[in-house]
Amino acid sequence: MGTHRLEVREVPGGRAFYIDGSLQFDSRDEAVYHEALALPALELARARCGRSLDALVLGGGDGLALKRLLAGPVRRAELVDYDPDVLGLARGEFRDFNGGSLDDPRVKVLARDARLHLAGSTDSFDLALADFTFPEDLEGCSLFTRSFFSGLRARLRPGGLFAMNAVSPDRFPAAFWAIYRTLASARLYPRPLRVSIPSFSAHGYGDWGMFLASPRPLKDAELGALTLGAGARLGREAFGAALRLRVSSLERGLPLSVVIKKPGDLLCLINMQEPGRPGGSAMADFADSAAARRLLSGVPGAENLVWPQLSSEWEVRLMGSLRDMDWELFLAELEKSAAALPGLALEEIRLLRQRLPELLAGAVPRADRAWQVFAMLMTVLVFVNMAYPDNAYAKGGYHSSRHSSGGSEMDFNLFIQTTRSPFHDKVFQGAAILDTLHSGGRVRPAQFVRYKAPDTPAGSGEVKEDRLYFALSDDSFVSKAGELFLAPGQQGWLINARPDRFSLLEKFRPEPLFDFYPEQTAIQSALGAIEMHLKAADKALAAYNRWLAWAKPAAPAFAEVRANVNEARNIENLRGSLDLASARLQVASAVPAAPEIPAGWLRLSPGLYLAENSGIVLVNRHGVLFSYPYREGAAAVYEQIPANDWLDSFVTAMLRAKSAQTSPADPMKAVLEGMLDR
Amino acid sequence: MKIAPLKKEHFKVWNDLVRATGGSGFMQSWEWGDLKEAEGAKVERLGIFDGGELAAGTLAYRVETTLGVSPLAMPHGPVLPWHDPFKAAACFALLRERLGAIAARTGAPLARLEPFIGVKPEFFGGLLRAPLDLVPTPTLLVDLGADDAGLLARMTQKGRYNVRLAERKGVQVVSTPGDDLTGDFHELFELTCARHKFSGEPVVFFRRLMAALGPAGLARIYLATYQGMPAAAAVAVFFGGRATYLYGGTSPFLRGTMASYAMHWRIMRDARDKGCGCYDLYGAAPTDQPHHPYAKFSAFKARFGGALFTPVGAHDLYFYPQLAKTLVSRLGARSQGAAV
Repeated sequence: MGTHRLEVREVPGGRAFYIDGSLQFDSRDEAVYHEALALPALELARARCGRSLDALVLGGGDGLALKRLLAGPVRRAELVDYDPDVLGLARGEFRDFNGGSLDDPRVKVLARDARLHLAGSTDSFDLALADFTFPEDLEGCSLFTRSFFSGLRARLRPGGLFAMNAVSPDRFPAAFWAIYRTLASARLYPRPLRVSIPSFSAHGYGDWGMFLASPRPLKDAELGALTLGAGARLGREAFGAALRLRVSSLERGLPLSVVIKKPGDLLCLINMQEPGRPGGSAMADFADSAAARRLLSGVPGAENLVWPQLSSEWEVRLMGSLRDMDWELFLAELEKSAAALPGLALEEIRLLRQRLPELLAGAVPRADRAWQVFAMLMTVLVFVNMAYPDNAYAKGGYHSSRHSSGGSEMDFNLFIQTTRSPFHDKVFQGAAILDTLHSGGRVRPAQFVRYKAPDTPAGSGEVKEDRLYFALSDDSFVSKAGELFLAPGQQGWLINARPDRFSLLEKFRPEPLFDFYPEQTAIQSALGAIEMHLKAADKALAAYNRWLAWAKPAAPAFAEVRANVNEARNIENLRGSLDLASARLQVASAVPAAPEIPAGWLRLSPGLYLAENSGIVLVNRHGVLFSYPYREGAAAVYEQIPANDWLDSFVTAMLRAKSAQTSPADPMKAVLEGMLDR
Repeated sequence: MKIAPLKKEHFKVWNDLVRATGGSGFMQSWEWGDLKEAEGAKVERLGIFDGGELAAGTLAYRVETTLGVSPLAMPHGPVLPWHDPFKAAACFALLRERLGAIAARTGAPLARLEPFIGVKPEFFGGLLRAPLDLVPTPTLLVDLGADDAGLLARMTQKGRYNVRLAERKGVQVVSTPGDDLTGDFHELFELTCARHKFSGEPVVFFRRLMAALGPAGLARIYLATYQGMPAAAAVAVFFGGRATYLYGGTSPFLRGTMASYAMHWRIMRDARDKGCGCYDLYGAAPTDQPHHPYAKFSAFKARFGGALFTPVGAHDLYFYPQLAKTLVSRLGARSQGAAV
């Protein structure tokens, strides 16, 4: 295990504990977090077992979750935390907060890696809690894999309870729902929880996510009957509220979520702040398991159709209905009804009458105007059929949920039930993509960029014009021309990332300012995100194409269909750009070995470092280190490159961005500010 | 004869008529209508009176969504005197006219009829086979006209063996017309839905269903347990001469207990004792379609000795004036819509 920086900071009215700059708890509201983690599991285990309990706590070395367990009917508890320093703090500075829980005679404390402990232990428990730090590296992510959860399940007695701290369902929806999927795949039937913790919100962490799980599914009735301790902040109502998660989180997270088989699967999702849909206030109630499962299937309204296979059969039957209709009667009624419309409509109906035999045989070119009216009729009939929720053998249409959801999106589920993807957004429904969708559903104008690409023939003077119209994350974009651009610090600077170099661009200068060393982790992370988006795009396109084969000619009369046509075309374009970017990034290039960067250096952006002696160091595309004279009189350890205004501005922007991300209590903040005060 | 809306006081006489009509079923019962209303559907309850006596009628369900108006849906309906084709035709003529008037009022472009009969009557001549059915077609019907030994003898050898195996293993089956087993049932139902990748109704639907049908003895939830653990569960409906296996679920972890065989065996005997002549297993794959989504379920169901019955399926009665108006309104909207 690597060493971690532990900090206890005084805050007005309490103390806050940080590991590596990340808030673990604030004594003023830690009860909100630890009660939500421990109490529901404790009470459910108590109700299920009906006797005193054996409990396991993995992580949670601060002793605060343990304190909540010990207040219940726990006869024996094991606490396993790998960090002896945290355990030391728990027995010292945190004693006032945790009530000396680590020294309770019922407790055995082990300073050990949770994974190794699970693998080496044969003990079984009625209740287990996992209270790990945020998974921001491979080591942390290894505690969220299927094999880890399977190991944990093996330690739980039948009907045992498991509660765990996860990530924010709103800020990291794909990661959150991936953990959900992974728990389910390890047969730990999970229920998600969302908790608002003021100190977490103040740090920009968003509402926090947790899971309550068990090898034996948690029944709605069990959750409904849960009584929580009288002295606890977490009452029945608050628990009910915790079971309600934002629908937007599911919509954004589910399409990209995967079962976490290896730590990298989660890390990739954590690093990828996928473009999302607008937040919205619609909530999904996970106290109602069936309603939740329907949402999780990603197909609201799918109860209209028991099996997707049946849909092709009904398409054939619909065509049959059209052939057998009393067309004489219908056309007469059409002409009567259309009399008030402009002459063109009547003309089209006449044309329809004329071409009907061919149309019913499917022999008319689709551009034909008669075909368009015919397609509109088919679309009307599709809508009429889908409007009745009990069609196709569903005995309970469950109208109430349908009425409350509304909207046109779900109305098309029969044909496009897999289109819920990161691409399904108004941004992609216009005639062209002029905006970029950032995380949290924020829409920004797609940025134009002019640059000389490295493969431009020397002396040609050719300048590429491009548009950054797909955001892999808030600081990583794929351009229309299929280039990967990084926006370090989101300060307006762009890096054109290629496998052999990262070229720094400035918007007023097409020539690269500097070619940095190509960081392979950034490339791999982008490739992972691109791969996921390609899969989502393929799924969406397949479903759209099926639907539009019917409905496209009817688009002039149906705004919903027009939006679908645009969306399909734009997804196709985006897919092309993503594919091109993926191919470019995988081109084998002779990249020199990565330079060794001393441990104490601070990375400001790819290839740009603040050295321990407060010198600025740049790593060029060949992996060679250069000193940059950012401050007068700074010692040049490496060969010095001449200063220029552009690079000066870039270094200043990166220092500023880094300083903004650094906590005021972090000593590094003063160093960064000192650099900026040169 | 005259046609008129049914009122609350017709509740009993209507149910008696539906029970006595072989070509109908529980989805035309007064209670099912109540359930649909509780779910938000509009229910048109129409009766045809012959000399003051109720002779025919229908419950027609419709909903309004963002897509427009649904068909007027008549699962297991209309209720007609099928034994008297001339009278049935006359009743249907009256009904057709009234449905047309309802369509004109509500904008419904078609009515979907699906009586539980094997041959399309002549007076359905102008109706078209619907693209979607309201009730699964075909289905398996088990004849319940026999004692226990007779019923067992009609099962396949595997079916009989599994019924007895479940008994030897000590599988217990309990049932209730109330709500106390709904949670257990729903848990198994959900597991089954997830396993077969189809969406099922939420628990609130089953609570409504039991509240609407349970008190009258029309529905019971069955739960088969093995050593106290829920292993299989079903919702069975008993109406008229027919019992129906409407919903079911099994635990994937207790398949070896054959609990579902013990459960169906209990339902079959209960149905017979309630006077039902047959047990409808609610859907089966056509025998010539081994890859049909129902094929696996059908293999299981077939072990109880049922015979395949293929009803005529849903048929649509188009109301061309309404359909034309719907299309024309779209044609009009088109002139304001953007070109593609």
